Amino acid sequence: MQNKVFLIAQPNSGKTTLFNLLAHENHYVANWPGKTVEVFHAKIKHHGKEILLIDLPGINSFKALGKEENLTKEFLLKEDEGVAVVLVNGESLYRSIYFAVQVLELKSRAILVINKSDHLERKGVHINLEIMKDKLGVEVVQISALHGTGVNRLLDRIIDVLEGRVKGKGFRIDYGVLEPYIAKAEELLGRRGLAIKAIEGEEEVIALLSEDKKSAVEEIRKEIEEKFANPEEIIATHRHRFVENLLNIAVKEVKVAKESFEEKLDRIFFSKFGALFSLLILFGMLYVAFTVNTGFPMNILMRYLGYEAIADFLESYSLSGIISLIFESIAEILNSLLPDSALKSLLINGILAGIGAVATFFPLILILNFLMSLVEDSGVMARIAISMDRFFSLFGLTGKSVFPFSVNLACNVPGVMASRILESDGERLRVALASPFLICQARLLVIVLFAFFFLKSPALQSGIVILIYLLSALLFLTATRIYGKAVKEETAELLIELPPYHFPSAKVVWWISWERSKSFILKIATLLLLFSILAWIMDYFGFASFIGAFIAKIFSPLGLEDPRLGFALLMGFFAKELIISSLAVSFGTSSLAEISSQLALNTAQTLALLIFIAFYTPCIATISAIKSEVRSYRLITLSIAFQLLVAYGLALLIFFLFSI
Amino acid sequence: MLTLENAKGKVRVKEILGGRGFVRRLSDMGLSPGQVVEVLSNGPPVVVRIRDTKIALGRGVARKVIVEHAE
Repeated sequence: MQNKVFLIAQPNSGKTTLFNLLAHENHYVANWPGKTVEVFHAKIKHHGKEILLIDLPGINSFKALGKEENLTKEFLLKEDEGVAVVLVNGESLYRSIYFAVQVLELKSRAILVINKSDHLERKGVHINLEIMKDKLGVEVVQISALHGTGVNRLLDRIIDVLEGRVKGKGFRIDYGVLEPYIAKAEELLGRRGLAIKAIEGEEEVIALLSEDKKSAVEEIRKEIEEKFANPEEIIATHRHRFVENLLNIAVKEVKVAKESFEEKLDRIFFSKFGALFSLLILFGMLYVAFTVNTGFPMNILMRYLGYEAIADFLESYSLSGIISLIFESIAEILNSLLPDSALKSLLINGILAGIGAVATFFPLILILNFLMSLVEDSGVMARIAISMDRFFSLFGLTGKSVFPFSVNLACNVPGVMASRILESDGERLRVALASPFLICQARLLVIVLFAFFFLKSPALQSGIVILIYLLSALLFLTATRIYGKAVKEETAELLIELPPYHFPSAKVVWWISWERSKSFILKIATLLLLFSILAWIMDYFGFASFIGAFIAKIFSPLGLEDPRLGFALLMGFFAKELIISSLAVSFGTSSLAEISSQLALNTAQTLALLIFIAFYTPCIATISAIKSEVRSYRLITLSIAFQLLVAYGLALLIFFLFSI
Repeated sequence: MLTLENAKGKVRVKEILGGRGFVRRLSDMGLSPGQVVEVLSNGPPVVVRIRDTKIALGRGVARKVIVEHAE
């Protein structure tokens, strides 16, 4: 049998517990080939794949001597065979990672398993598995053998390694001055891991060598001794430094809240008022994000109170205000420097505009991810999910959906990305696909401006905005149901662990929010840039007016026949804010009042237009975000078609209702 | 029949109804037959304490965990 998996650990790491858990009592004792030492074996099956699990005797260090321990050592020194699963004791991280590192130097096909995650969680110890993986060059999994948590994930990873789907990029510690000697020894022994062990003076390794190689190794050791110090000590120092550094950057311990505090706070969350309490927290979160990013709603409030200057100040010195200012000036500089050409237009209106769009998005995404990770890391997220579960379960969702829901009210891009926190695949897809129905901040601005300038009565102005908000929540929840049929999972059930409360740690919060925001740049930004260039091509080569006229034709049942409006709606497909700027360009005025009087729409037409703008695909960035979440052309096409259809249908409906 | 949905106080898990994947997922979270758990809130969702971890289960999940009074 080829699929051999060896469990290696220091004593008391929970290896036996893990072995029994995996073996399901199917274990048997067999002699180690050529030895009288008995070793536990177990044949297990995971996802149809057979694995032979071998429980190697626990070994404290490489200095071990006993007969059984020698066997483990022998395995480690042998040519690569099977997969080594190295168990790390979560209760004594330093000591056991120091040991594990030595195993990894010898075995490249390995998985590092951090056991006793329950203990770590209770003590508020966070481990950044990504950093660990990066520094150690192997898959890192966190489990609790005692509780059985994470064991399935471990088996998945084992199969991945067995099938060669994940390849460690090779692990190495830099031994500084010893490197040239290690290289020399590697030529004699063939493998770096063995070379290091030989220089350390490991007898078993040296015993494998022929007489002249033995003396060559002895020669190397002597040279090191004379020039520097004892080779064993030098290696140990470097290794200790490596482990220290690794734990420094990848592990963060925070103080968890007292049990009595936890009980009190939990009592509020689990009570009748839990949902209200949670909504207040979420409201606070959105308020902070809005104010930092765009000055909203402080700018509106200040303007209302008559402090125009403060309102302007808040808007222009908000993050997105500053960034768009920077990009405007870059565009101006390029415009004055370069001679007029198609290339210049592409550079400024296509590429720079695309990068600008990404850059103005980024702060909001970072802020929202930051706030989300605060709630997540402190243990509050799980409680909010519980308090909101009763409501969301009416629609086949879990309470955790409240997070993507609220983030979507700020911006659909991080909203879609927030769907990742959902446990089940089906729920994740359903929420990601339905997200655009929730009205984001940018769309709100467009809708409010239109309502203000195109509608006469204040009652109608506020009425339509409120109607749109109510409709959007309803559409989102209904859409998750409908998409449930497409992804073949119509209801999700809550099943989550409640971590202890603790004050969020800056380091961990940074890990989470940076990781997520980075994926925006990597996955979504490139698509966004691509579409920006596409929009430029359409505009530059004059396809735009043609498509605008075509779109206007589709809207003729609503009496919206102006091709300039059709073109603006097309631009709105790229980003809703562009509707206003596009209208401004084609009507030759930035005054919405002027545009309104030229278009001369009646109430029914205006309401229909507003409804359509509110619910058709929000922007290319959101579509890109959904695409990178669902990874299915069928689903993304389905959702775009559905949104256009719903928006058009509702617009038609309100048009006829108000035309009667 | 007593399930986690309507149980109170300390109970012992008797059986978990459902497919293999479902049973495995629950046991991954520490919920398996023989285990004694303490119901902290009936919600829904139901919140239980198993040893020193707390987990929350939606009504549909809780309904599939058959329990009996411990002691």
